[in-house]
Amino acid sequence: MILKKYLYSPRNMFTGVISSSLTIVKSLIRRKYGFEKSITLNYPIEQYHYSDRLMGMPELVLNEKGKSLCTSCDLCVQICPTKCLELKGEVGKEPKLFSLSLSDCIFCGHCEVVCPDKAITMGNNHMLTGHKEEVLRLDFSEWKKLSSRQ
Amino acid sequence: MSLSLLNKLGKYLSPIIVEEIEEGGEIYFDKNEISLLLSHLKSEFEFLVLLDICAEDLLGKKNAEERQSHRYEIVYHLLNLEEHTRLRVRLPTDGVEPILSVREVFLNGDWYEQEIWDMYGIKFSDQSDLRVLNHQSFIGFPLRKDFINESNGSTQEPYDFFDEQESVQVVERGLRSIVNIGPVHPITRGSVRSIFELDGEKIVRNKFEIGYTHKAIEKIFEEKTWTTGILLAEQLSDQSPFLSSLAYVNAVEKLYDLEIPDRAMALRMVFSELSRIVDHLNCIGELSLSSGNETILFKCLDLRERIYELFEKATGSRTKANINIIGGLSLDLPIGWIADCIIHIDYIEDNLLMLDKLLTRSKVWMARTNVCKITSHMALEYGLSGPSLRASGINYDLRKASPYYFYNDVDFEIPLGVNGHCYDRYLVRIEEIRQSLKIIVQVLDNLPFGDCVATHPLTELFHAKSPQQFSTAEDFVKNKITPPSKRIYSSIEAANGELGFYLISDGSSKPWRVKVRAPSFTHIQVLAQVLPGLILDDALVGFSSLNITPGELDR
Repeated sequence: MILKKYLYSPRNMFTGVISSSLTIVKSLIRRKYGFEKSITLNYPIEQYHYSDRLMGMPELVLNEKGKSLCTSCDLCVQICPTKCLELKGEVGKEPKLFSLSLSDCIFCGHCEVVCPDKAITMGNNHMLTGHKEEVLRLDFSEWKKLSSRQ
Repeated sequence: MSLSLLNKLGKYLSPIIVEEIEEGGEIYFDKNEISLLLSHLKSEFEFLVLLDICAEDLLGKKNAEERQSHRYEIVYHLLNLEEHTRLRVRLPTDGVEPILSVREVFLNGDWYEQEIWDMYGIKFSDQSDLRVLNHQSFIGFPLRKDFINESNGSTQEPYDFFDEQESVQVVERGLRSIVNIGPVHPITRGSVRSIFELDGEKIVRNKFEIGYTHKAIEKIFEEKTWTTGILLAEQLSDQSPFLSSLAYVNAVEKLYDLEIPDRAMALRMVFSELSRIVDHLNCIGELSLSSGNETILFKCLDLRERIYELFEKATGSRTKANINIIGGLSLDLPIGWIADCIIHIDYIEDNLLMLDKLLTRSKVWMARTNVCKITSHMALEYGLSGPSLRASGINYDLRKASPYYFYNDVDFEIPLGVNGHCYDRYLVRIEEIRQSLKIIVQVLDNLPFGDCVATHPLTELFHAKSPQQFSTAEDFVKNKITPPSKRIYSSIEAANGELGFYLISDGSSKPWRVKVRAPSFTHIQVLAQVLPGLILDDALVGFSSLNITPGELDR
């Protein structure tokens, strides 16, 4: 499909000015009388609602007593592409050390996919900020506190 | 594939055997006259386009073929546009004697050869010592298998291109002045340094220094398993990561000889067209920004936001949509997504009309963008692809030429430009957005039912019904199901042009070599040729009209 020839001939100034000013006036009127919504959000008052599938911070899944379901099988650490997880502990028991570095995490969700115990899941929390790098490094107890209970 | 062409070629090259492979033909050529062979192939058999040159280090390779007794192998990828046939010429070498250069036969061979010198230390005849992607003071050749990093990492000194230049700031020297822009990308999308030598306002000479965002993706690929490589492939493009991961996943699926279900194919088409729209909108926005038209940029960003919303609903992340897995898609569409998609498509179509009214045929816009003419001859010589090639009037689109998925069954047209100006590239992109919307509606109308994931041991984890077991998860993590020892080139039509992956597998869980054929790498070469004679402002317009993405340029 060769592009139409008229696309290459400049329109004359008159029609150009009229058509472009019409577009502007039209959109101004539509905006003014509420036919068209504003593109931006009035941020702190209105907030964007993400869907349920949002890949936020990885969270631990806890049982009723507040214990993690993790059995220290080390698979999530092996698959993690940025090596942001660290785990130490005996296989079959709750880990002694399990930390997450949020400054390295790219929220790919691989850890959730491979976990055979379903002990880790991608949460909805996406507002992750901190003043120092240490704040973004969560150790086991801090991570448990931030995770929601099942 | 066209047998007759390969048969003719086989008769012509008589002692050399032309093997038939999936993508076309393969020649194993162990003599030194490579430039002679390629110029014959170009003139007699119309292999007009050099897609890529890449090298492979065979040190310590398992399952190596018997004839591979040399240490390195150089591979030339050629393309015949008329017959849609690809040809691979493999040239073994020890890396001691310089190889005859092909930069006089194919003009874009120059940078590819320079890159091989940079990465492998293999010399071509009459070649300078300039490095392309690494810094000049870098020690060693990183893609060799026995490479040990000896650089201390503190290579901050900027390198000067023009010999007589002393400082990077503006230097007045008689009538001529040297202007340095960057290393920030002119439209701030990454880092490319450009240096112009100006006579008054006209550009006399120009150079581009790339490699500021070199992430060593091809080296890291060799340390990751086939499955985790998808995340690396996504880093190639900042606007359409879905397309770059699709190119990789598609190549790996060919390697595994894995067929994906119909629904996954259809959904991949929908997502890839959505990403194409995002990329084109972003390109038009940048083009308008660089020609002083900020309003259009914000309109484009608004339209882009709509598609990001769709991606977020379907995949869980706005830009880096990590939904592609080997063997299909990891998630099916959520309920109500199709209705949302159709509403957004409607909105985009309406607003495209508005863009049209404001820009197309506008006198100011045309005067501003009628620069950087790339003739069709030049486009072929430099191996351009994608919208930039079609704007020069050459009808080549992989979606039509060698259709993958259901592109054969949907009804769409390929817009072709006339002059090869930036204005043509703008027109082609606007029209392609319309065609993409058309494709999406057609696919969504006839969306097949069924699973999104193929039934294969590799994808067992993604079947929701099967109970999760430790052994299957461990198989997935360690990538125990390995592909056969094979080499494969597979490409798709990405937003910028032909994005190809040349994969070499040695039968283990990690790739032996991954080479990315990035379209931007050729586009920036042609831009360097076109710019002399234009004014400095036009350089930015040309830069953004070719949609040069530093992510895939530097890799």
